[in-house]
This record gives sequence, structure tokens and C-alpha cells, in this order.
Amino acid sequence: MIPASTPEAQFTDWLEEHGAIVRKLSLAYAPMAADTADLHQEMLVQLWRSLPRFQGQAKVSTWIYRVCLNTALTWRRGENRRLARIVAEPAPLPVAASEHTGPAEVHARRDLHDQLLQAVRMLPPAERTVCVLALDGLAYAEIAQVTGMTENHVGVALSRARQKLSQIMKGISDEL
Amino acid sequence: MSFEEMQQIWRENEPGPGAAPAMGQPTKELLADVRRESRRFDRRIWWRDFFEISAGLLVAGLFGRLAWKAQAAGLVPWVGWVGAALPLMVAAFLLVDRIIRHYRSIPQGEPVIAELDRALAEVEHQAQLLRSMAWWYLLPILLSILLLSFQAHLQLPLVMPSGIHLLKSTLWLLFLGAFSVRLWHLNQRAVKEKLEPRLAALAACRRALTMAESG
Repeated sequence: MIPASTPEAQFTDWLEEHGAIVRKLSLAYAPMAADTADLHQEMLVQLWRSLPRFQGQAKVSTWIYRVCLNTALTWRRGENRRLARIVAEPAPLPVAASEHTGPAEVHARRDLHDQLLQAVRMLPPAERTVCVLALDGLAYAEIAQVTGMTENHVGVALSRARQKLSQIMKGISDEL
Repeated sequence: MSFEEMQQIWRENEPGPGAAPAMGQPTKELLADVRRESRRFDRRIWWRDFFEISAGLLVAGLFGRLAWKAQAAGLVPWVGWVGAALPLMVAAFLLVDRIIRHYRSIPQGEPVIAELDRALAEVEHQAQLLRSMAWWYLLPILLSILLLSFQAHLQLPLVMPSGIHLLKSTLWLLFLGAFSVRLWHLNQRAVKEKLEPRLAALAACRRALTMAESG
């Protein structure tokens, strides 16, 4: 049993409470399944290394978003391999169980989610950052805290990103 | 589809722990993996620094010994002492730079724009170091080797005809020159092929976020 005050306990608590943030960001920023696991691990390693620096000035979730996004935007591991395969083969997009009960509807919603994730991955990194945070339901003020932009500017950037995302989604559904 | 619908789809399909390989581990195992990976990372950095700095110290020690011997033999000792000091300075420079870089590599949890600035400065620093390596790395080491050669020439009795001696010295100088040029070229290629595209990508991301700021 790990005492509650140790970094190990703190990290475990963070993972249990906010693990979905790390998983979602690694899926959104790594185009291939193999890279998703690598990026996910890299994010966790960076979170672990940053743990002693966390002073509690920001919310834990804000801190996790910041460290994970910064890791994703500057991540290089397996870069060549990723670039070589980026167009050829999209990663499988596994998702957890949905609230919808009907199997056909669950399937349809999963397809939509896969399309949405595919569209998010096609956004340039800066727009993807704002977009993912907004899709996660963060308010302008929280997005501003994570990115360092002002709230007004978050609005401008998000408006552009939403427009692009809609166009990409339309393109994907037209193809299908 | 509206953005609100997208948000709903996005949030109702939260990726579970099994969304990708290695994500499905229990938290304790995941923590053990993370700690192991973190230690491996620190060890790798430590050994890399250790070898690079040890090489500098070894060369400095070798040159220092030659200088000491020259002094004991009543020959000109300053050549060896300067030759020993130069690689020592390079090793010290590397050590200080690595310590600063290691400290800076720890995530600070700053907002994305601030971290992008930090990453840009870091990559620019790496690129500058490689671009200017002729001055802070190659030149001192070359000068040091030349001084060593000169010291050896002073210490060793001249047993071979001067023509052969001149030829050997010329070949040695040509080899040193070619080796240095090759090393310099390899590093400049690394700057062009790896660091400059990385700088451009980071700058583009930074610009996209700040362009949004300017409307």
C-alpha cells in the first residue's frame, strides 16, 4: 500500500482520475496505432518527470493537458516511421462502450467518432490543440489557461478550427 | 453536423484503458513502466555525458603527462600545458551545457505557447552549437593535436631523414584536415536535415497560435 503523500500515490491518483485525457490526446496526436502507445508512454513519463514541479497553482487537469499537449507537439520518437506511413494506413480507433443501447446505433456512433478522430488528426497541430480542448468541453477560460492565449483569441482560433473541422468532416462523409 | 454534436460524439466515446496496446495495464504496472522508462532516460543521458566528458579528460590527462615529462626533461613545457588545457575547456563547456539542458528538459507545465518558445529556443541552441562547432570544438581539439604533434617532435630524437619526416607530417596534417571537414560536414547535414525542419515545424505551430491572437 502506497502512502497517500508519496509521488507514486499522487501519480496513481492522477492516472485514475484523468487517465482518459492522456489516452485521448495520444490518440489525437499519433496517427498510427503503434505510435499511440509510444506517445502515451512518453506523455506519462513526462508527467512523472514534471510531478515535483507541480505546485498546485493550476488545476491538475490543466497541468495534465499542458504537459501532454507540450509532449505531443514536440514529440519526435519514431518520426520517420510515422511520416512514411502517415498516408498509407490510418490507425484503428478503438473506443469504450457507448451509452447508446441499440447495437446499430452504437456502431453508427462509433463510426462517427472514428470519422471525427480522423478529421481532428487532419487539422494542423495548433488548430488541433484548440479543437481537442473544445471537444473535451473546456471553456474558453480553461483553453486559455492551457494554451497561454487570451480568451478572445481562443474564440478566434476556435472559430477557424471549427470551420476547418466541419469541412474535413463533410469531405470524409462525402467519400463514404 | 454541428460542433455541439461533435462534442457529444467525442465525449460519449471516451477511450478506455484498452484503447491502444500498453494502455490497458493496471495503474500500478503502468507506474512501474513509467518509472523504469524515466530511469532509463536519465541513465542514457548520464552515460552519454560521461563518455563525452571522459574523452575530454583523458586527452587532457595525456597531454598534461607529456607536458610534465617535457618539463622534467628540460624541454619547452608550455606547448603540452596549452594542449592539455584546450580539451579540458571543451569538456567543461560540454558539461555546463549538458547540465543546463538537462535541467531545462524537465517539463515545467507551462502553457503551450510558453513551452513552444522554450522548445524553439532549445532547438535553436542545438543548431547554433552544431553550426559553430568548428570554433568551440574542432579548432581547440585540432590545435591541441597539433601541439601534441609539435611536442612529440621536440621530445623524440630525429632518427629519420628530413624528407620522410616532412612527408609523414604532411600526411598526418591532411588526415586531420579531412577528418575534421568530414565531422563538420556530418554535423551541418544534421542541422539541415533534422534541426531546421524541426525548427520550422515548431515555429509554424507557434505562429498559428499567435496569428490567431492577432485576429
